[in-house]
Amino acid sequence: MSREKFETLSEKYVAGDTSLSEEQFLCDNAQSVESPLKPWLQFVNQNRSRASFGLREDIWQTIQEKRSKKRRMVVGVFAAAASILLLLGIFVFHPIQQEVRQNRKEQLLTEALNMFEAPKGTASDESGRETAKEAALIYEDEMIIIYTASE
Amino acid sequence: MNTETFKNTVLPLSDQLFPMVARILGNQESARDAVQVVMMKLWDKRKELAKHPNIPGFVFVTARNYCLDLLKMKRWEPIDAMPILQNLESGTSGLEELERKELYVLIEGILESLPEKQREVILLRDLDGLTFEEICALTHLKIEHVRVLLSRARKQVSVQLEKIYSYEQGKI
Repeated sequence: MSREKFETLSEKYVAGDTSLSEEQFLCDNAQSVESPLKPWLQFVNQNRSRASFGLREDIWQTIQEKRSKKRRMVVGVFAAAASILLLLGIFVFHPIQQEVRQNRKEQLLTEALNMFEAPKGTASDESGRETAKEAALIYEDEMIIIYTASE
Repeated sequence: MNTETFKNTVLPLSDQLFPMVARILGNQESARDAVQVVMMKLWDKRKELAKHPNIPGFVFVTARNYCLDLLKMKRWEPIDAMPILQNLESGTSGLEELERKELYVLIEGILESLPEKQREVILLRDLDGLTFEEICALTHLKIEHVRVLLSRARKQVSVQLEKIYSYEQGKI
């Protein structure tokens, strides 16, 4: 590196007009040039810390782990909530109660049927047969009964 | 701020944060941990971060404040074994080590003699490698003011070093 170029850059540096890359260039070449700034530039070069290799990747890895942990926790919470809901559902709408409801329906149907009078004169019905006997009998055999009725 | 934006805009700043954090804490290993903690904090606040007008500035301020909080902790003792290990590995001689120590003492003295703002700006720029925009965000100064402070600090360092080395040469 020429002395002239170094001096021009040094003047720019002292004026605060150099870019970061120009400043790095000065630091890298300070060893080979005599300048009042040489000790300072050497000091800067030796003490400027640089991020250790893989720092960014390590941080991203940690973030990803944190994200997956959070996801697992959310899935766990949802699974627990779903299980609770399922148990509640089984408790509220369990089959025994449905059976009771079925029995209740049958009971109601029977009550409803009992509200109607039994049909009169029906041959297949036992009570009808008795009613027929009480009425004026015209003809009777194993198969048929003929009688008269008021209505 | 979504994951991809965070990865592309905030995460790359961790490499730029490192020199400043290492300088404040005086310990490379702790600096690595501190940068990681700061990035995790920023990840948690990424929704708020997206609304910030100066994201790099906010990141640098967060990192600096975190380091200052660490230094305030009573048990914090910055010990850095890295330079010693590096010297052992590189086989630096005793004379070179002595010269280096002398230089450090000299430079530290010059830096101590600078006004506080000038010292802060020159350290942020030359040792931490921050851009003028990042320095402005950290110091709450205008860019022109930062340039003036930096120029004065560098001139002062140059003049002081010239005085010392001319004196030494004249004495010899």
